[in-house]
Amino acid sequence: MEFDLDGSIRKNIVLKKQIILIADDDSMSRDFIKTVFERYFSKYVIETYNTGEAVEQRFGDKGFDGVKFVVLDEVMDPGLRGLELIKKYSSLARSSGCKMILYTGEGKELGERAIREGAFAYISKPISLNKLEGIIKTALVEEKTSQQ
Amino acid sequence: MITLKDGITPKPLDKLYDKGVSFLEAELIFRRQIYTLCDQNIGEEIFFTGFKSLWPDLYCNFDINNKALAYLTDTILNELARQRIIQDISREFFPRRDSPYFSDSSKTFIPICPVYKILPHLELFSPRKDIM
Repeated sequence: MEFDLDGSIRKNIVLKKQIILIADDDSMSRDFIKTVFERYFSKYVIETYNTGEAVEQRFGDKGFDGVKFVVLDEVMDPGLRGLELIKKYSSLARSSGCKMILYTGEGKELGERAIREGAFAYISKPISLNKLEGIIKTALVEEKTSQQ
Repeated sequence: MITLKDGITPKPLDKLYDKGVSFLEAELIFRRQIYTLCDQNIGEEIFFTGFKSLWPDLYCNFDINNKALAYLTDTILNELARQRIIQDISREFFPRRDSPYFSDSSKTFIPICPVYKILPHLELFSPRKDIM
């Protein structure tokens, strides 16, 4: 416990690191998604990965503690796809307050499957900035509502 | 057979030719997909990735060379930019990259400027006007 000069107790609040994970095998797509998320979450730590396996290893090593968003490309060559990661980890992610988002060029059907598997949202390629920002805003509103 | 920018000529691909469709016809459908996307998203900012998803569904097994498809997309987008239908705003999103922008997913350097704002324009493609 710490005390200010006037003797009042200063709450010893340790701010927990908030994290966003982005996974895509294309560096340009990663940069784009990162830039958009940075506009809304400037104080968050953004981790980027280029394979599904690397994301899975990260989940294994550090879990979902502090992770607010996991943004996945559906196709990451080689290896694990975004949808597979959502299938495997969405319930664990959800219970930790983490939202998984998939972006895909493979159509609405796959996106809707991701939602059924527990994704918070999906976005189709080519990616509309408005739509991506809409998803982020919805997530923020939802979080605010759940905190009240 | 169409020859793309820098003299790249896509290989004649059996799967496509089996369907009795030429690359040029597939390109036309692809162009229409981009035109429709522009018509339906005026005022929006679009990250033009996932070119393959715009390639006609019918030919999804048609293994178009990534590089050829990126060049074709680049050609179409440059045409639209010259006509002031779209505006390149990539710099906002990739401040650390030099122009022209490169995709490294295929381990080759492909010049593409992928983030565009769709400017107000007259309809580029309407199925009703389609006489082909």
